[in-house]
Amino acid sequence: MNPLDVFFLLKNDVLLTYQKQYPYFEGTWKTFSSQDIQNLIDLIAVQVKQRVSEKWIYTHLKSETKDKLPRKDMLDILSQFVGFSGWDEYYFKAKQNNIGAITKPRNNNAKVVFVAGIILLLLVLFSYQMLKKEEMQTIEVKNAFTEKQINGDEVKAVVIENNIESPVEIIDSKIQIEAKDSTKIVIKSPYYKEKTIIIHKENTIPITLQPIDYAMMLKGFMKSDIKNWQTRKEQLQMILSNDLEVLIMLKNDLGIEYFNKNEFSEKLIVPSVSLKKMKIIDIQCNDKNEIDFIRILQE
Amino acid sequence: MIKMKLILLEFYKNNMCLKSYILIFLIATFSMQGQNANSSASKSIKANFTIASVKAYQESATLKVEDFYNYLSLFSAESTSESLKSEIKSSIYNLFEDENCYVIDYISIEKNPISLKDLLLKIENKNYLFTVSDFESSIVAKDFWTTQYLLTLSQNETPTEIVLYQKIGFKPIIKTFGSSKKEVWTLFLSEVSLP
Repeated sequence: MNPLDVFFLLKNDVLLTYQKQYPYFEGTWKTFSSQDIQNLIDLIAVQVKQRVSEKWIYTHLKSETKDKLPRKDMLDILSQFVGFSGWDEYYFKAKQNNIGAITKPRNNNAKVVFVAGIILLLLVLFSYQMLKKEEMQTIEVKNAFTEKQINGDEVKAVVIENNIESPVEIIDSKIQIEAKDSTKIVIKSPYYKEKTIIIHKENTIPITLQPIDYAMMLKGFMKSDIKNWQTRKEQLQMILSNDLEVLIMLKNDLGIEYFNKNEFSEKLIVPSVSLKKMKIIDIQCNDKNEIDFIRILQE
Repeated sequence: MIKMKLILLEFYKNNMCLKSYILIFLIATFSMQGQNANSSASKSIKANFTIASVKAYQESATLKVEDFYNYLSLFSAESTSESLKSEIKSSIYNLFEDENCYVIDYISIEKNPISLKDLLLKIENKNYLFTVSDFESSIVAKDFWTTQYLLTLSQNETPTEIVLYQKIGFKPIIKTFGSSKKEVWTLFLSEVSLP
């Protein structure tokens, strides 16, 4: 930005300052009348205690050509008129902020506008949060047979929109979704049959999931103590496929251990320390409903 | 003269043939040795796992050590039925690469090496309680590392603490999953020794 550009900004600011005193003037320098020139001369005389000639205004302000910068003392007068100490300050600030508007006289106003803006923004955000809260829909997830709430750790839910799956938050066994006319949700769990449902805005009926019998038995075995080990051994023989493959995923996905049916059954028959650190995340069954794949996360 | 020339030619041919056989044999031998060397290197822990990965397996191995001593406590309990003891014995042996492996005679004053089988006989119905803590794993060798831990042994009296070293094997083995077989890296417990 060269000095002539800054002078052009100063001319605009002079016009804006003049408009503050004479609000009915809505024109430009081109339409600045002789009466306006007279008013401006008087205004400068009152506010800056300096005299500017009519001819100078015609030559330097009304004129649209800007090939030559006016004298420094005249620039000082105009800069003081728009609220600065002189041309040097105006020029410095204009270059620093690339400003065109009067900054100094509006300082207080700007602060007020800024604070008001922040308050307004906070209000908008707060209202949005409130609205969002109001528009959230909470739906319970229950076991279809026992009608008891299903532990949130055992269920994962995703919303499907335009073939894109986005995870849904489950708090206290309740699915939290944004209320919409219709939302497609898929609920997955190692212990329950996968369910896809469409939820409508007014829907408050709990989602019920059908348990997978053998997976539920396995869940029970994972938590059992040494008692009834013989029954457990027999039942494991029945529910686990001979082709069973168990993947134990180590911490941070840094490795995998594989167990076959015998190795995994042993861990369940005589409950071990390592069993307490295992969390089942996926169970798959074969055509005979026997469990033939288990994915476990080692905590 | 002609006959003589024919005999010489036959001898020369046979000699060339012999040389070729020797050459082929040597190439085949060195080539096989080279393959074995490559195969051996590719089955080393360091060639297959990052340091972070090995650390994860080492952590997992400490759970197997804990399982082992937990099984020993259960086996040693007087209240444990014979049928359950047999089940526990099988679980213990399956943790080890070799069931004839040597551990330490924890209950003797001398703490001499003892086979796993003999140890089980010694602790049976004696109500020993084994707990382990303070695990530290050593640097990794080709297919094993050593884990140091503190064993606390008690039997209705003041507990005894012993610092022990245990070799942990980690290598690829062919595992059977019903009708299919797969080569998988597997952790095994191995011999226990004193520092």
